[in-house]
Amino acid sequence: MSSEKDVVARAIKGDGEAFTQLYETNFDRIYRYIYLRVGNISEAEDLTQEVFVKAMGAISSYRWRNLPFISWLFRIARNQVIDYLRKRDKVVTQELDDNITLHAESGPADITERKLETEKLAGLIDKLSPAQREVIILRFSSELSIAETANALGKKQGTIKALQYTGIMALRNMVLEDK
Amino acid sequence: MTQQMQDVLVRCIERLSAGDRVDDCLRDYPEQASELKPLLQTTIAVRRSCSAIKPGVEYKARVYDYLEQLYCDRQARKGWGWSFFAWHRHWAVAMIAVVLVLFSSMGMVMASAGALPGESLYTIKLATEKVRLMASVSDVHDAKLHIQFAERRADEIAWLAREGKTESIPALTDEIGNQLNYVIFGSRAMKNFQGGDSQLPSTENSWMGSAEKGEVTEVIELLHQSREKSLHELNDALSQSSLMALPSLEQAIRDTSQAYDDTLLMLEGD
Repeated sequence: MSSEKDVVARAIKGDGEAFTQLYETNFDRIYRYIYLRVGNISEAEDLTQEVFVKAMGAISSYRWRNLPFISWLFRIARNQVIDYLRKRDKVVTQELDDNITLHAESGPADITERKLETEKLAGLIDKLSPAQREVIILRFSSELSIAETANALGKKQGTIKALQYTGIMALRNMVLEDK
Repeated sequence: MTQQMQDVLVRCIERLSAGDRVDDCLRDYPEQASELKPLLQTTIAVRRSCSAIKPGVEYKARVYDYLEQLYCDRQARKGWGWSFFAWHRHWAVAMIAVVLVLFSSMGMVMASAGALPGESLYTIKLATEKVRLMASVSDVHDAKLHIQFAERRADEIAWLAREGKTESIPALTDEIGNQLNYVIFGSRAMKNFQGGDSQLPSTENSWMGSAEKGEVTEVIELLHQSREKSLHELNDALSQSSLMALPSLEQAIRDTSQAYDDTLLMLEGD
């Protein structure tokens, strides 16, 4: 099996199959990040597509730096989201779309429960500070490591650890207040 | 204490990812257990909710089809465009070299210095840049020229934005990225890499490996100045550009800033 570095090197040279592999590996995580940031499924879909279109256009100038390829995709996604939120005059109404897709294997009761959980989560995450919000989403929704999150956000690892800690604390307190 | 707790939390979250249970972690950190437990429970709840978010299968397939179509279009354009421009470039360089010799670098070359994309003299301006690179005597001098050319592209973007002509801005922004890549690796290494089966260029085999320390410092200083000038010019254009030109210009500013920062990061080391 090819390492990510090999796949990326082939994609840089214009190998469509390699790009498809990168797309398959990273699409869901990028989508999840964008969805939790914008809270709207159709906007998340448009923005996710745009991220991959931009990545395809810019991949020839990508330079491998011993960091996962997804760090680069997150940088693009983050810029997209910032642009989008700026255009929306920074008024973020986190209304989750009814068409949110849940695990196919879930039963109706499970789906309802999960949907409520997801709606609640997005509402709570929205109340975090912007820095905490990004760290929590990247760490737990997009499954980035501390080092990858630090790279994607251009912050030090110590800062990410602190933001993760205070973010989880804040979420916990919000859940307690909610009860 | 808080920092220690942050580190313990990071370690426990990693263990949960690897399949450990909350109780396993609490047992190993009895002093922090009371504070740790609610944090880990919250982490698990957040992860569970996040995992429920997935893109629809049809949507994902739609994006895939769109990208595939885009890829095919680009390949088709590139196939024709590359061979055409490769031919065009070689002849342009040769012709300009002849012109330079015949007219002692005067007249047209000087007139082309201020040419902008879309103008007839712009091709000569680009070809002149190539000739200057060909005449360059060292890798360090090459790097300085590439910095200068990146700056020129930024000036051209600013001018185009002010004129509301946004079509060429993305290509010029890409070109800034290319020029800055060349600052590190040298245009020859990048061309070899793109053209063949060679290894990806790395900072180890860039000109920096054999350069004097003072030369590297000089290039870094020049790059800092160039970054400041380019971004100043682009930001200056923001207030003088039409609303329609703003998205392209803002994107160019972000990408240019990123390209300079990436280059400086590689030159200065992590």
